[in-house]
Amino acid sequence: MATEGAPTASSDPAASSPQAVVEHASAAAASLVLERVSVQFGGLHALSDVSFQVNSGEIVGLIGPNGAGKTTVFNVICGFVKPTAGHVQFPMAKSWKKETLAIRIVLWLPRAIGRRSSLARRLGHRFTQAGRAIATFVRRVLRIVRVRVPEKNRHLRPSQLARAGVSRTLQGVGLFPHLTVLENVMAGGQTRPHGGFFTSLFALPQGVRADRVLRDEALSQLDRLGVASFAPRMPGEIPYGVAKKVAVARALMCRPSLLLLDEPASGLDESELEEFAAHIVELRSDMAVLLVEHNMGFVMPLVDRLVVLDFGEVIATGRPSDVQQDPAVIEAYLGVQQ
Amino acid sequence: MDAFLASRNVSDLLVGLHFGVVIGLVALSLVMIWRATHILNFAQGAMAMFSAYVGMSLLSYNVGYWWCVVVAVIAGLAFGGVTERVLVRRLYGKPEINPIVVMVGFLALLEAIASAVWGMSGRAVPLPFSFVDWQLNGQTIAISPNGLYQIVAALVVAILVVVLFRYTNLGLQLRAAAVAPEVSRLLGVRVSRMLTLGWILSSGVGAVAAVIVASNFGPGLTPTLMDAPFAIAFIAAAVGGLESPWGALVAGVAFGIMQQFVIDYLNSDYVFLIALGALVVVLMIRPQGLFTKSVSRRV
Repeated sequence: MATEGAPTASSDPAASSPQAVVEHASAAAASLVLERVSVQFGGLHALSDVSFQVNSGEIVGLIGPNGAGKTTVFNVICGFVKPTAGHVQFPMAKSWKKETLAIRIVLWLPRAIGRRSSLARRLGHRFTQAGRAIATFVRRVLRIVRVRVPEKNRHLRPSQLARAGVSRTLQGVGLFPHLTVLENVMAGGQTRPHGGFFTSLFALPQGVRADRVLRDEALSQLDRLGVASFAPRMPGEIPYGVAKKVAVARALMCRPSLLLLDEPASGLDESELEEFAAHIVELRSDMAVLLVEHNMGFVMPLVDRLVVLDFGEVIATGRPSDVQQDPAVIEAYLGVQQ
Repeated sequence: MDAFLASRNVSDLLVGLHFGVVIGLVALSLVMIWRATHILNFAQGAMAMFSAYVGMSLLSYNVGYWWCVVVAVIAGLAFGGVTERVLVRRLYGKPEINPIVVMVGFLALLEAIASAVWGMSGRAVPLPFSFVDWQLNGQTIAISPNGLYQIVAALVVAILVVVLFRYTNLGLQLRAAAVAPEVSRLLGVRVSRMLTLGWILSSGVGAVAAVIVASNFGPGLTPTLMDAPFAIAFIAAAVGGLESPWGALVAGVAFGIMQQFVIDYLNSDYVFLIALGALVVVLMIRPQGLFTKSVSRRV
């Protein structure tokens, strides 16, 4: 596993061992950690023991020949595909815990009683402590009897991921065809605190204000990418390059700490590619970026590090210049042993 | 002026408008469910009838009319949510025929339950305002205070719903979740919650329509109360465009006015004939409906 301090290419399996990954995750500010992730579809091994990480402020490219498993990796990260083995973690993501309502009540009740009962007032904070202890005990019992109490930031569902600060663009464009460009970008801001049902229904000031803030921010994101003039248009009416930028603007609306870009350069011409690369470089100050891309001319100068997949396995990681010289990579791409 | 307002055509227009806004409201509720879940809810009318029965059955306990309306609407909202969670959720992703069969079965079931519990005979529903048509300088104008209240109530509810969908962030989430659920999930939209909310809202709108129909048309509240309005509303929604709330409203009002003119000048037997004829013509010329925009797709 290549690290930020020593970004050398490596196809040595030991270098990408889970232990190495975890150690590195604790040493650097990792935004995404994959630990020995395997995915099996029936008899087909789509991914085998894939381990790598993406650090905050880093741009990492995920490359590989067709069918190497790149999109499956993205789908695992986004929660669309559950790994048959291994873990995906988002150490830098906002904390997210999901429990069923019943479990939430069971955990909340002792603490609530501890805080609010008159006995608690007389006995000071002891009741609260007792409540916490009971809640911890309940949590342990639930784990022992195999009631699912998910751990923090592991295997989150897509909607939970967005709330945890992980955002993704899709292959192609993936804009909502019935919504305007502005509405498409606004739709990306659903993880923000906004007006609830009644504030929206009755146009209460709080809801109106929240909607206005969302609209302004969507416009400023479009402006940042230079496509604000297309705000009132429908996605079917705008050029492909603009649609790509709109998709990125939408992904940025949830203020992600990790941005996943799925083939961002496809369909763009040379001038658009340069401009697009400049925008991605600008993003690194706020977040980590992981991108899947086939266009090597676009990827090589852009990324800090490459992870190369072939037949569902990581065959090399490291700086682009080093990966380019890696025999395993050359063989995977050209089909010959150099 | 008075003679003009009392003329036959203006009277037909006013009576038609009265019926039309109710048809538009039912059509709107149908469109809301279609947009949210792509299911044609054939039980929409029966669900609305059931909610109205729940509210109006409180009249037996000397509860006031307005409280009964509030309970009917709340029952409608709750009924929509429970139906989506318990029944409809199992139909997502299934072959298209499954929701149709299940919803037709649900319609029959609800009407059978209503007949068994409340009986087949009509239940009188009080009118909150006078039903006597207004007089203007000795001329009768074909609208009463009660009729005006019902038109205004139906329009306010319809406009509120359309505004909610079109101009609020909640409406944006509802539309996004309906069009592309997987992409919406990636953006943090709670799609499952939005689908339930779509059913809750549309069922509440249906309950308002049923309360209006029960207190104004025919023999009061009966288990088959909403069958005829639903049939016309279904045709109106298809003509207006199942993707267009405004289209459903406008087509509903147009069909209500058309119905009144047909009854007055021809015969009530021709109402469905003309409505179905209009549906066939529109489907041949513009299959997506008159008010639905076709969306271009890049290939």
